Amino acid sequence: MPPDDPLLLRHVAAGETEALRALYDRYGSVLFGLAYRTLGDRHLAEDCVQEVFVTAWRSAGRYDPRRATVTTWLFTILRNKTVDALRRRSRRPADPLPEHWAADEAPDAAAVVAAADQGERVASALAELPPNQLEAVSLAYFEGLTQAEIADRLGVPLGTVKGRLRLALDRLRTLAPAYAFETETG
Amino acid sequence: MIADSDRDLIAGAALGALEPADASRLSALLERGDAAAELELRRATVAALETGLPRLAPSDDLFARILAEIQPAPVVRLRRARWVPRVAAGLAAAAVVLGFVVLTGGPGEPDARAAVSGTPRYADVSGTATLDDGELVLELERVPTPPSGHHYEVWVLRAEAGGEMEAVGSFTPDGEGARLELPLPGPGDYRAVDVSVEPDGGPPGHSSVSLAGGSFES
Repeated sequence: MPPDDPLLLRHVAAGETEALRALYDRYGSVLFGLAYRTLGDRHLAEDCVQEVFVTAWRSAGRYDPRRATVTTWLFTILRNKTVDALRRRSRRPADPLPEHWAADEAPDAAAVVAAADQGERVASALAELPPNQLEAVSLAYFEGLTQAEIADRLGVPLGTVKGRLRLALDRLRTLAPAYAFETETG
Repeated sequence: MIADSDRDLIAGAALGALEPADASRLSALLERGDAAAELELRRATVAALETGLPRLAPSDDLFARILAEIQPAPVVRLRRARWVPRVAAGLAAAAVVLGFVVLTGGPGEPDARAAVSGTPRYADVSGTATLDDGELVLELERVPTPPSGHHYEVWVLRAEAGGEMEAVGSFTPDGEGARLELPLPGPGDYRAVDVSVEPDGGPPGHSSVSLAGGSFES
């Protein structure tokens, strides 16, 4: 059974980089996806994720589980970093447009906020998965690994991976009903 | 009623995580109406995810960059330098091929220092090299992971070596920064330092592919 998030963070606070790596493996892709969704720029998104984990490393001792879950805590740090990145970018008018926006469809502020909000809702749904399901679904979804490749990566039986992916999708169907409904009917 | 093993298959298909060998089994399964409906539902869930988050992973080296920021550059003790009796390139050829020019005319002395910069292919690399008490101290930043099956080798060039570069150690970085302390091959008039990209188990000479280099100034 993988350690829960608060325990991981206590190990991070104790200076254990292996714990930070475990936290990164669990949430790095989700945070990156969220940052990319907001910023539309891979390099900026990676910089933000880097800053999130550096902040987590330095501030883990101040984390209070009574005030927020670890994922809420990480998402809050990320939001601050992405806002800072957006502000920095807005002060540099010569910056090229983000990678996924064409020149004739530069986003307005409302679109950026909406994208961030939508991304955060999905990210929150993912973050509520049990760690072993999140790990499996992240490898399939973000990294494009097959079930067999995930089993190799994690060192667990193929049947276990298949079950985790199925259970993850079961839970996500419940956790993100609005999106599923829109897609089914739209 | 769909068996769990079939639902596993469907979940894998919705995520695009099936092995090619599963395709025929999936096709047969989807002839059943309930299985096809289950796949549609799963695809809707995945589509919902895609609405919120792109299917993109961060770069493989992102965690290494995080580690590099939270930890001081590791001190890497390297294997003892091997002497290179002959190096194919002479001084002039080395200066051209390796992308640096020996600028200083005077002899190298203890405490000589060189600014190290990446060759055009590795332009982000930077650092310093210092000669101090019989050691070369090389500090590098933004060092990329070497290509698969390769490592980095550190070389020095001294005037009395007849234009031959001498290897002083090799390393594979475990982060973007590295601090190396390498025994020098002996006293001399050190002119330059170079870091080459070498194939694992390759011949002892310089590969002619450099990561970075610099010239000493006393």
